[in-house]
Amino acid sequence: MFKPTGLRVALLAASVAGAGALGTVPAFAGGTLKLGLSQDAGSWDPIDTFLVAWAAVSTNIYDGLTYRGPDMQLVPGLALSWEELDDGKRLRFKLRQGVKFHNGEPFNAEAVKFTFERLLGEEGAKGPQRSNYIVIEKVEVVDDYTVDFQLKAPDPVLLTKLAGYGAMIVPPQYIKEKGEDYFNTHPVGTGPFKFVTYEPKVAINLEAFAEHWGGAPKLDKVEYHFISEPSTAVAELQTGSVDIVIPPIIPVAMIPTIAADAKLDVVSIPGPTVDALRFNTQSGITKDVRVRKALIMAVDRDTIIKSILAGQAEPIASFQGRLSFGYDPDLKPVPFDPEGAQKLLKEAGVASGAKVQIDVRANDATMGEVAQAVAAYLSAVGVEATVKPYELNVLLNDIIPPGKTGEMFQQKWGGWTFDFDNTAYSMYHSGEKWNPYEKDPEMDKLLESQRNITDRAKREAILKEVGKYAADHALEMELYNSNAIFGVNKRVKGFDAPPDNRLRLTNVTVE
Amino acid sequence: MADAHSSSRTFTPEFYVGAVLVVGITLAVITTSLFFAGSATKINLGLRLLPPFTNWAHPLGTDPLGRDVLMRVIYAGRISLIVGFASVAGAVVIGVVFGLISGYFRGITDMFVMRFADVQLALPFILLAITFVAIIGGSLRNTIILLIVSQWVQFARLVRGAVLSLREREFIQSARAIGVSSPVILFRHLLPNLVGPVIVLSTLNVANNILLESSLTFVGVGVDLTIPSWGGMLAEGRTYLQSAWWVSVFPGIAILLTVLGLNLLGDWLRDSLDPTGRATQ
Amino acid sequence: MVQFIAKRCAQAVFVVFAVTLIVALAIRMTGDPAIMLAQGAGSVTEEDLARIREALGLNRPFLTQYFEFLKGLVTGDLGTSFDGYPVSQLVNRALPATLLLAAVSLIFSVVVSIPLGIKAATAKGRWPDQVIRIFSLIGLSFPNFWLGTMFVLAFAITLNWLPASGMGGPSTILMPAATMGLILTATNVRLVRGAMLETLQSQYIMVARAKGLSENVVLYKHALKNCAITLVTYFGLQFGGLLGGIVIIERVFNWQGMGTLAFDAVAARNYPVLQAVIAILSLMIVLVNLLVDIAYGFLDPRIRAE
Repeated sequence: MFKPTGLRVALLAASVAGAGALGTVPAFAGGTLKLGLSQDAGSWDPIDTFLVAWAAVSTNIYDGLTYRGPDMQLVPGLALSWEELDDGKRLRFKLRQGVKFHNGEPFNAEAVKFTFERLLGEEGAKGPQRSNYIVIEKVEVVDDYTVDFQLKAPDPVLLTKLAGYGAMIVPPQYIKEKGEDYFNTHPVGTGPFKFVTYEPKVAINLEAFAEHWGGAPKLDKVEYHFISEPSTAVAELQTGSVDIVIPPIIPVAMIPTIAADAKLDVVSIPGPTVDALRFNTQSGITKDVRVRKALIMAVDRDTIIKSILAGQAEPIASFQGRLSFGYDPDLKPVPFDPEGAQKLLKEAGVASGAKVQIDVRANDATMGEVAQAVAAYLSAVGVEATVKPYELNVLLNDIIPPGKTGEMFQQKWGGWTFDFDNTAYSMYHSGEKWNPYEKDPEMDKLLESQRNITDRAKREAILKEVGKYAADHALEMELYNSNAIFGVNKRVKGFDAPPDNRLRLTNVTVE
Repeated sequence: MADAHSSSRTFTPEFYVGAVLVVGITLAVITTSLFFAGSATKINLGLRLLPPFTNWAHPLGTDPLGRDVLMRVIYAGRISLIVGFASVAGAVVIGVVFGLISGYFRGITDMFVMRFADVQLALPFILLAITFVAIIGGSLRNTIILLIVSQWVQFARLVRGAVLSLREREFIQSARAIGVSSPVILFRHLLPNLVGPVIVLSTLNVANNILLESSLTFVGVGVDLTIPSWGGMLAEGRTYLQSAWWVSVFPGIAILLTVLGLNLLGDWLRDSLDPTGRATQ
Repeated sequence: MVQFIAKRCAQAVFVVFAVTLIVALAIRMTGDPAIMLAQGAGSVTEEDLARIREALGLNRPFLTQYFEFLKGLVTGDLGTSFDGYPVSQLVNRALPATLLLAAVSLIFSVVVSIPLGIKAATAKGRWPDQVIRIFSLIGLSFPNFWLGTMFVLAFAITLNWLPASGMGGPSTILMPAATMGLILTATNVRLVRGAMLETLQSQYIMVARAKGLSENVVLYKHALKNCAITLVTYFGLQFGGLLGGIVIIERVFNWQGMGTLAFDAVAARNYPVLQAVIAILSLMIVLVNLLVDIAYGFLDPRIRAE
């Protein structure tokens, strides 16, 4: 079950004391909540997408075997309990009974088996989700409400992965009858809200599923409107056409606008998103580790965070935020030291006026400002930086993977599992798509060594070591871990902002 | 007609206002670019978003990176003017050459130019731009190239139409009859007759292209963000519109004044050369 | 005449063919549709991407993909968007939205610019003419997205009279159509004024005036009728530009039309959607130009001979 939030506790207490005490704000008022979402996921099938915009909606439609709410604790979802067998190579789940899909179909072990066979089979191969679950060898039905997951190797992050995205449990009969294409646009799950209508590029509408195992949601209806232009989304919030704007639409620049509006609140919480300017370690002046260190020292990242990011971010020392598993509080960011930087540059034989190019994503307005500020700091130590924006798709396909970047390039990362392995392996392991320049056997060994350990403490120690190793080799200029920023109308009550954008609206009410 | 003719070659208030705006802005932009570029690009995170008219060092306030808005607006005009004039210059050269050839010789060139023109006219420019900039990247050069590609056709059609009617006129017919060579006819006899309408269309297109450049930046496919341009400042400033209006209002005014000046001049030229305005359609 | 029309139709087919071929080739030059579908995917590997590409049918030769698209275009089946939605359904929703906005903007501008243009022409050189011309010049000097944003600030946020964006009841179309309409009006007032000035000097109008008809009847019935063809031609020529402007305005007002589809399709490298949108828009522009040409052909036999 959910860990009750403060407000929920208050409401429960009040209802025990007598609902009348709350006056005109009944706890079960119903009503419609409208949300602004930056993107239309297109398909609502769990195996088709990795978009945060998908999760912001679908967390209400589907359930996983496990559940992870805004408090980041892993709790039972459709599975009541689980145990590790065969040294972590087999997971046994006891399932919740009496659960129904929105179409009336019963939830049972067969549904779990169907879900994962679909994900790992031919249908899943067409989408991006499958690769996160390939550790699952097969799913065996023990009895109607018990299933076993046979694993190829122990996977310490699997239970977390079962709480979201590709592991959402889908209805076997429904999909078999209606077909895959129909399911894409008419999703059915066991979640607290059921799908009503979907207009591509316009909106997706849900309504309460009163028979949800976790209790009926308090809202009657939920509407998600797709709005891509930030100023338009904020205008909609100001005029009351939407009640909540979901990240990542609201740029830091618009926070004062929302804060100044008496009807609105800015709700911001640390999220998984980290930004860094990674170095080309194979060519240019950044080949030399001393130069990389000097460039990091030359930039006052604290001031950038305080000014450009309006404090809506935290400095980082490795490529992860504080919530990430593997975060090392003892590892401190490199302090701002322009004199030291100049000394190091001189030592490395870099002449004044040396050039670096910083590649950034063209649609990222905040990074645009940050990169220009970084360039200004670099020029103060005699390095002339230019900023080159690329269209996102070009940067991710034609520039970074083939190693055609400038001396520095923006990397934005945010794994919803909050496990440093997800980031570090992709960033630092040889041959990985996002690691075009480094080939370091020592780092590879370190990364591989933690992949199949289920002992949390041991794994955490290795992940910390990975972070330290990357920092020692100055593989990137760590910038910050930025907050997820929600704009919320004050008429919305009981909204507990999730760090990972997977918002579940069961306890939310509107006045 | 007599009425319209008497007003030609006279300097109307339109002319004076237009000329003062265009010349004044151009001079300010050139001076700033040559001597004060540093103060337009200097970042000072301690002085972010100063409101206008409160600090004499920054009369129009500062932007999100603490840069002086006044200097930046003037300096940014450089890109807008370069884009406006360079793209039109390119379009004029290509358009006039192809227009002359296709109007005078007809045949295969004419066929080619006209079909190309059809294709060109059938593509909404902004869609063309977002597709191609996604591919080739946004830069000053690419923006200018895109604008040339999308506009030379207008000049080619204008020139071709004029040549088609001119070549039947007596002075051209007699020149051909006495054996004057084609290049001489084209450049000595035809070209001078086309200068008027081409200049009128050019003036209007410079204004139009300054607006297009800002639209391109708005949709994220313009000149890259490190080079200040009016469109870029407007686009950057729109998220600050409610909290720091000066960041985008002043570049907006700069665009308005420049385009207004150019349009006034264009109008004046059009009226003096051709009172019914047919030549430019 | 039949020959002329047939020839122009053949040219129109060629144009749509060329336009779609250019776009289909260009959009494949960079980027990868699979990478956008896998956006944020932790350790996405080349293998994963290859599987996704195969599922999308992208491992087939370009010409196979392109001819399939052409075949679909002819038979009316536009294929499936890379995120699984039938393209024809996307277009069925988006095209009416874009055309509605275009039509309302055009009507707005015609209704405003005809009386203003006539007033300016009849008062040529006097103050009403000057005022109208100055205002139309100012209208020409605004970037459209800027004007749209200002409208939102004024009428939605400050005054709270109109919805800031979205597509719903009649109130939602007011601001986007007014933004487009005002900018069009700036041009059209000048066109109407020019055409009227020419017509007013014609014998035909002098006769009408001599017959003692009231000034309004002369202006709105006889003169306007006389220059109607010229104006319709002008308005027809604006169509392509109008669609281009709408692409921008759709974004400001979150108006889910063809522009929105195209934008998203470029970013996601959603080839089927982008190709279909471009093909349909260019087809419409070509058709409008064709109608203008045919109208011209009827009026002026010399063009037909060309």
